Amino acid sequence: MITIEAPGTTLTVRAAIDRVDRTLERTAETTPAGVLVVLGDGGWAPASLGLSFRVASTTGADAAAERNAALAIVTKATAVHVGDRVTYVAGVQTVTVRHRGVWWEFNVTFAPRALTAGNQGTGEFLTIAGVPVTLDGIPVSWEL
Amino acid sequence: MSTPLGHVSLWAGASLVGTLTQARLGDLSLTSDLLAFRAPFGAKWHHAALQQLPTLQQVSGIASSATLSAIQAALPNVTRLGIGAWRMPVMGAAGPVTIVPVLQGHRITAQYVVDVAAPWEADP
Repeated sequence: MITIEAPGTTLTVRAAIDRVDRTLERTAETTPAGVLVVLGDGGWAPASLGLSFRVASTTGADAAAERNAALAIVTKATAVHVGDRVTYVAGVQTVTVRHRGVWWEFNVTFAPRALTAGNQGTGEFLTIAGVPVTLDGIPVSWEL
Repeated sequence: MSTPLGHVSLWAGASLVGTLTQARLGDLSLTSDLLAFRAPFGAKWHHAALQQLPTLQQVSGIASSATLSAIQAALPNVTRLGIGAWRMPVMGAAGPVTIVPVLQGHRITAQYVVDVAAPWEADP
């Protein structure tokens, strides 16, 4: 089960597809003279997190209310929980909702803030004299 | 008055513009302009400009020859799509509109601008 978290609410789904797409910033080309040229530093470009799931209703035939509730949560998502793993997301990049008769098919792509626990924010951690500033144990970050 | 199964009704305000038969909802496509990028030779990811862009709902259905011209004329002003027991608020059709003659009339495929935050209304 996957839980999508938005401010003040959550949506738990049984996802059919849960995938992370990553890209390395490195390309290779060959010049006309046959020289191999490698460009890029080999760092990880920002990833995307894709979810695909169905929304149906046990009480209504059209599941319209459930569809609208799911869409509202997905578009305001701040985190995706898979088991014990939490991926904080900066927001949603694309959503496709397809009507399938009595249920709705959602395909959602999120932009994760990070894939590692070390840096969940997008900015620099705030420090005073080299000591991290925390709020209730959470490091405070800032961004220009 | 709910819209029959397989139909989509088009409303401009409180006026029924026309009804598409053998209709189906296409994809609702929502795209944000959220940019994710990494500074050159940096490791951190940055994100910018989260502003939801207009969402488009595709609808395809058959209009009878008698109602075709009225539906075409009203497409930019459609404010509600009637689906089953619901009316979905829209802000008119947008972009390409495809009209293909078929045996029963003309199949119209159009996409409508949707505000995803606007609640659906129960059919009165």
